[in-house]
Amino acid sequence: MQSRTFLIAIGGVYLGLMAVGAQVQRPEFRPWELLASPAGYGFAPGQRVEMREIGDLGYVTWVEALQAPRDTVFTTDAWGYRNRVDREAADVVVLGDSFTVGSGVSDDQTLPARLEARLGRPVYNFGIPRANSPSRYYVDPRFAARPPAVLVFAPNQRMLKPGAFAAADERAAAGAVEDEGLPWPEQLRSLVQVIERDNGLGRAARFAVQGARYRWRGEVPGHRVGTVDGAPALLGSLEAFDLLRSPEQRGVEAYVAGLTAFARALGARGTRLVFAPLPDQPQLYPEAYPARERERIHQPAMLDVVIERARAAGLDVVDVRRGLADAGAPYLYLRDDTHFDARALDLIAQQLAAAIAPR
Amino acid sequence: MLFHQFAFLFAFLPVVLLGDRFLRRQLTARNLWLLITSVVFYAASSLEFLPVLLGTITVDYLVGQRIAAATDARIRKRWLLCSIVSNLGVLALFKYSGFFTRSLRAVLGDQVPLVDLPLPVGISFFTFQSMSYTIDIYRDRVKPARSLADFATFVTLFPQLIAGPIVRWTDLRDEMDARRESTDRFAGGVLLFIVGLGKKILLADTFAAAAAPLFASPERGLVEAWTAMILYAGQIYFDFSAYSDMAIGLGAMLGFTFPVNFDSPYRATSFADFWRRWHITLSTWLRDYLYIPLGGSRTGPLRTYLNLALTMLLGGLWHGASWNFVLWGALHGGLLAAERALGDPLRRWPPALSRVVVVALVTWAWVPFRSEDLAETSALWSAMVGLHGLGTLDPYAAGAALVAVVFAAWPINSGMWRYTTLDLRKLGFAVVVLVGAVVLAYGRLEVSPFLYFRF
Repeated sequence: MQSRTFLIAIGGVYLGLMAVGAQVQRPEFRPWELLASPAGYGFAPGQRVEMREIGDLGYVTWVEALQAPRDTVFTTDAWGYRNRVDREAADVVVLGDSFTVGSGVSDDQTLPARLEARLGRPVYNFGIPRANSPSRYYVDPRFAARPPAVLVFAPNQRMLKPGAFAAADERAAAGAVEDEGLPWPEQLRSLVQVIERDNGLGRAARFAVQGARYRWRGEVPGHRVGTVDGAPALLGSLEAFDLLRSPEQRGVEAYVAGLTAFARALGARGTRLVFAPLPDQPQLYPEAYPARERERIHQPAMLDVVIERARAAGLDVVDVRRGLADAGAPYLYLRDDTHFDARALDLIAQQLAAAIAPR
Repeated sequence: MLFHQFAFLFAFLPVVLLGDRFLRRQLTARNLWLLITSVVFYAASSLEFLPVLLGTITVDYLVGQRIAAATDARIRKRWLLCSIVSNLGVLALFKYSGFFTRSLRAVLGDQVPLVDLPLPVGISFFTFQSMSYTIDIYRDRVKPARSLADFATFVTLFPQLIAGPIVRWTDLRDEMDARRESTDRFAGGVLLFIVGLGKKILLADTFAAAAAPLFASPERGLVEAWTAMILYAGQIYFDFSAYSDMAIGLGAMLGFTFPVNFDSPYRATSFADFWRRWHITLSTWLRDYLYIPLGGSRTGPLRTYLNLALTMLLGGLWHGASWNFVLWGALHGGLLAAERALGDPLRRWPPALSRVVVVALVTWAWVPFRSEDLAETSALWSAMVGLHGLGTLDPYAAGAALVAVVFAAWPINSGMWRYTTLDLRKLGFAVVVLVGAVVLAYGRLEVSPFLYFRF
């Protein structure tokens, strides 16, 4: 065979692979990725996105059989929060993170939406992407001028961090954070990383290889696949849920102190604080994890200690775990996600409504 | 940037080759293009250490000029010492300061300040490469480069910059002026690059994945320990030789002839033979610039053994700043010295038997190379001699180990492209390996960087 013929043939294969890979796109598996603002405090305002989304665990697993695509509608108001109606005031405000925003569910299935349906009173969704910032709420001019009767503070247990009450959040909330952008060497590295991660060839290859591995060995390296209610479910890691550290290591004293001060400040405005921290998968479904994993979870957990100390401090606390555990099957989390499904959010709304009403 | 990454394979490489082709009739511009793209290649991995690389190049270029211009032997020696001190100083600072200060603190306590700097990518390679330039000028073996740009192009040549082969100025000097180009050489380079890609992704990374649970398990018996080490021996060979293959293949595409770096080392019939086949450019560097200046084998048997031991000890230390690597070097130095003292007994045995003995002891010696610390080394050795029981055989790992043995025993080296006549079977092989390796490289989420990437 002539070298020229060899090179033409290999060149053809090479160009074919390049063509497959040429499509480079940022991940758009959830409305979240499309709408979250770079500063991390809210979404793009006045948007409505309809898309077929997959879960935060399902996306990185690259196994179609483990993904649970669902159609969702995601609407933001004039201030960049997830509300279908622009509101300057509300009877009840729900403050929290992605669980409050309603990652993985549609507009009418979020916790604030279900609470509004059960209470029959206006409820405002003050969920913030990733960050958990009571300070941001406190400086919001709308709710400073016309405080709600009740503020439901529903952080996910991962977000029980003393920094939620830090002054830095106040500065950020007041708009002091400036998006300076990355220096050019970091932009270059970031571009290379995007090409590496998000090229079409890589995406196709990951689906092919990870799917084959799952079919062959029933597992996906680096991910947990549990069986809940007889069906596979993707599970988050104990490290990602921060369940291995003790409450002291996680700053429980500072957190409860911050929470108590926050409640006091809200009370001075005439707002009642209802504290309802939300559990993660290992706390509701410990049996889905192998025994040696379960043994690594620190006991008592941060969630338990925070609830106990918040009650001891006289705060109004709703421990939603009992109601969720009593609900039984089916599984309460989205099967390819770390977030609750619509039924779980409605069960939580039911417990909150009972705690809030009657006036 | 690694050779199997998408950004390199489908963005950087075609741009470099197209530019090189476009400028092929303008030598200066062509070499400058190679210099610029090589600097970009290094900056993509290690921008913050680019000044270290460029500084080393500048110092050694100027020193080379001074040595060549000087006629007084003392002055020539002083300039040479400048180069050696500068290169070894940079190496000592970035690579060994943490090791030295940690070792001193273990003895003297916390009063010794800890100095632990990040490691510039490829520093062990480009300092040795650069030193060989000034030493060869001092020995009148080669004339200095005509320009700083030429010398910089030689040192920064991206195919060999990060992890070798350690190329000498004598190897590339002529080709800097006149590349050796033909369609046959280019095709051979492409084939060798694909072979290297396959060795890395299809073999080395597979062996690494099979070995990982065995190394992670706290309870290892004899069987698990030896299976894991055979897999590691396969992994390190195929990983490192893959990089060399790809580097040599890329060099051929650009018109350069890089030296062969591996010659089926696990077919060696003695330890001396092993070191004529493993990381050839490093072992010849150590031979020419350390072992022979120390006296080599010309100064009596005891001194020879000492020279061997010292050379291998420092060779071990070159690989990493840790007592583990020193131990690894000492083991090989001891094996070489013992072999020489006993009159090279393995040569008299049947080749199959000597190969088994060499491979077994080399695999044994890989333990400290692979381990994080001496405690892990001890634990693994204990398991390998059965102090933790026989253990159980994992079929998947055992199968992978068998594949490692079969492929390692196959007589193949990086020079194959010189002798390759292309045919339909090799084309089919290349297509399958290229597509398979690319799909697996991007689809298997835990693909590892090259093992020698951080030396």
